[in-house]
Amino acid sequence: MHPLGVTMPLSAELFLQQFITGLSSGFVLFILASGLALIFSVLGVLNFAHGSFYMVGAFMASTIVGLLAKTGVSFWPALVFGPFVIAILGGVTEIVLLRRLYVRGLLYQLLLTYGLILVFLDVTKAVWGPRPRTIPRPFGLEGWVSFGGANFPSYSLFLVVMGVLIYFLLVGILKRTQLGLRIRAAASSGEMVSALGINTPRLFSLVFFIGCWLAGLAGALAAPVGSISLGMDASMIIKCFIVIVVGGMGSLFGALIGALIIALVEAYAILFFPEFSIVCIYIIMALVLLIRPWGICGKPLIER
Amino acid sequence: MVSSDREKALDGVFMILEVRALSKSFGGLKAIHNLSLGVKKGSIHAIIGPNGAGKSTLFNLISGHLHADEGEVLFKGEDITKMPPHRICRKGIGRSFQLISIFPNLAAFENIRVAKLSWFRKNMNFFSSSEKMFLNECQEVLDKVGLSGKGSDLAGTLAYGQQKQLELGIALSVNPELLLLDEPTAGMSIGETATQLNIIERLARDHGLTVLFTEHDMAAVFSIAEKITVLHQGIVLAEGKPGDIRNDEKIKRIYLGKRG
Amino acid sequence: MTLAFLLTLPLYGSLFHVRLVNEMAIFALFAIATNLMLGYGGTMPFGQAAFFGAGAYACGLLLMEAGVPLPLCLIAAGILSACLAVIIGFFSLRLTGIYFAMITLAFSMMIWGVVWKWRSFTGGDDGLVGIPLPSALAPVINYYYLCLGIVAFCMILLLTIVRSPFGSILQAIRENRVRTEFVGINVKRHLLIGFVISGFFCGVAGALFALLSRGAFTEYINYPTSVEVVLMCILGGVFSFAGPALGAVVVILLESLISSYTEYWLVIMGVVLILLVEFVPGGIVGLIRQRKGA
Repeated sequence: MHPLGVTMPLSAELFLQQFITGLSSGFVLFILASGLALIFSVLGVLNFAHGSFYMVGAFMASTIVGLLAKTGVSFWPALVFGPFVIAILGGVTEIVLLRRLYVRGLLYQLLLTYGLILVFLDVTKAVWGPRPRTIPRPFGLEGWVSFGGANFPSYSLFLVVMGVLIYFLLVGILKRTQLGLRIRAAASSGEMVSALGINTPRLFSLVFFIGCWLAGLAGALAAPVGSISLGMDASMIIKCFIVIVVGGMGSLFGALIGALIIALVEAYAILFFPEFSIVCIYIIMALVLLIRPWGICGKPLIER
Repeated sequence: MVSSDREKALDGVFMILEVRALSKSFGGLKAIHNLSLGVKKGSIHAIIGPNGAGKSTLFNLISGHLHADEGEVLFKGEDITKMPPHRICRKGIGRSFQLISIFPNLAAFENIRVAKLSWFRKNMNFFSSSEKMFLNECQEVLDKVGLSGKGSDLAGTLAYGQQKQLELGIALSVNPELLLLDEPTAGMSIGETATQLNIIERLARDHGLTVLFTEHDMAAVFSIAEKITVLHQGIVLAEGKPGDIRNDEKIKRIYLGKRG
Repeated sequence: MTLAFLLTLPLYGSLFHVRLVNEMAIFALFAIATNLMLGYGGTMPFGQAAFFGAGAYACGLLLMEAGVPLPLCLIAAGILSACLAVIIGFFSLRLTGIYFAMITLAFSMMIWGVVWKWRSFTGGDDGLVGIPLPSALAPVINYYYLCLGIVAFCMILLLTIVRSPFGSILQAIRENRVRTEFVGINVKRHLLIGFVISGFFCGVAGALFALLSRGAFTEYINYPTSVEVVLMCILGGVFSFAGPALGAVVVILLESLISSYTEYWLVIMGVVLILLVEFVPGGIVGLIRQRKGA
């Protein structure tokens, strides 16, 4: 048990190291949360099962890595193909199960995604077994990079790069493509979209597909860090949820800011209050809820 | 109609509702600009204008559903500009909405009863059974708006015209002195329109109600209005008796020629 | 008929069954109290576990640490949850729809986090264990009857409230907020009061459950509890008074049956849930009404 208070002398090195740690986990969290935010702004559904897709993504990556262990390059195929498997899983789920519930109302959709959590949890246990597993960092990224007088895991830097790339990829899609235009239209007004002749069911499926792809990608990226276990879904969905509450419901930039704030707060809080780091995050969420309940980048809703 | 008789009945010229220099913008768009208007107590006053002239915005500003950027709204001399809708209602204003606003899954009788329960301040009563309350008062209202036998029907299953009448009934149930009616005959057939107008006029006469309404149906306007205000792009274009407005060339050119 | 069954159960049922029905009764209260805001108020409260858990912990702590007599503990649990509801409701009712759902969920997760971490006060992850019952109530059967009595009393109170002018106006708010506002009702305040009443009874239910389980645990406050109680309401039928109670019975029965047969009860539960959500609109009460009508 750590006593409350600074456990080691705070040096510039440590500061910088925690910064990179926070940044890298923040970007993975962003990738996951962006999927959730996307699904939420277009479909209006809070996908409770998003953490489950993430978890399955991590396990899937471990399987692909295992299959290709003999070749020298096992991680990269996992990173490229894994998310698509998850995305297909998500797309099928949406078409078969979720679509029928759009007429029934939001409540039923929420309950369905909750049911999915239960199903995914046991299916994952059945397929991959109850014990946590790990996969090694990919070849070339196992080492350390040093600058500023400190050492940083190369993989963490890789995660940061990936996160930034995904952010610009998403922004690019939203701002410059037909699909992005449709997504933005749907995000600002659901009813208008079908009136405009946009094929709503197909758009919804596509967005859910992309959202799950992002979840799978986050899972694959997170797989070499720490362990892959059955509880991953619960811890991540809570954090993800906090991110979009803090960052703004339905805002991509908000998801980025929210994720980075949460991850950095956690990274630094662990230094000072290891027992209460999670409380710090909740305090931030509380502050946002009290002062600006629609999130930092969210649009204030008319109170009627 | 018989406006001269009603004029004799009015005691003095008292502005029950006064709008002063009201302005409201949405983003860059000026919906209402420096609008001033007075409604005489006991009169039937119509506001007309093409779509987008600001009629519904004006109503929403008066009833408290929107906040004005500038200006004031005075009801019976009291400043109600910043009051929340529920308090404005209790001051004596009843309102109907452009898109029918009733309680679809409650019976018609219940619709009226809810208004009565609120008006008689029973909303914090947790222990009586509301089923037995205000039976007479609710039936009375239903009779007045021509829905006598429809009390037990679910409001959502009533015909369109009947739903509008029900909404009028709800607005009446809170004993208003001023009725704000947003397009009270919209979507009605000619027969239903005549009935509705009859009801409105009779209510105004019998209870000394002031009625301020907006309409697109010019025949309706000219048949019962005693005074007409014409809005265009958020400002008052003209005001006067029906005869004057009908003959005004400028107004005719702008939009009367297109309808009714 | 149900009454006869409930009252005579201990005569022919095993202790296990008695305890199970006891649990059903408590969750029936929890669900009906939640439905005040869900089916009658037309909102989506996704943080009810906060009140259930608060009631449980309050009752446990008062009993264990302060030695407060039992009846007072129950009432205090309800009042504490009600106070919590005032705070949460004040901030949450600023928003509507899914946003209200998310905020109530967020608040309840916050409380979960605090309770989880505050080991010294709440026992953290291990929970509050060993809540004592006065010896007269220790036997399963005795507590069963007491519980039934309290639950029945609370339900009668709730039924009265639902049928009162307050309840009628609450339903009007569900039907049309703007219209209700313009017959002179301060909608936010009315909903807040409904939320507080709901919170009170959820707290009482939580306290009763803590006594039944002889403990209060963080699962009571976690989001699955919040989602499950909403599920119970939907399953049973939100537009009736007793529907949620029926839903509670079904869910608990299913959980109990399924988990006794297989280790993989989660997936079965999930599948059943999904099937029910997909194919049973209006809940069980809706089905019954359809049969009667047709």
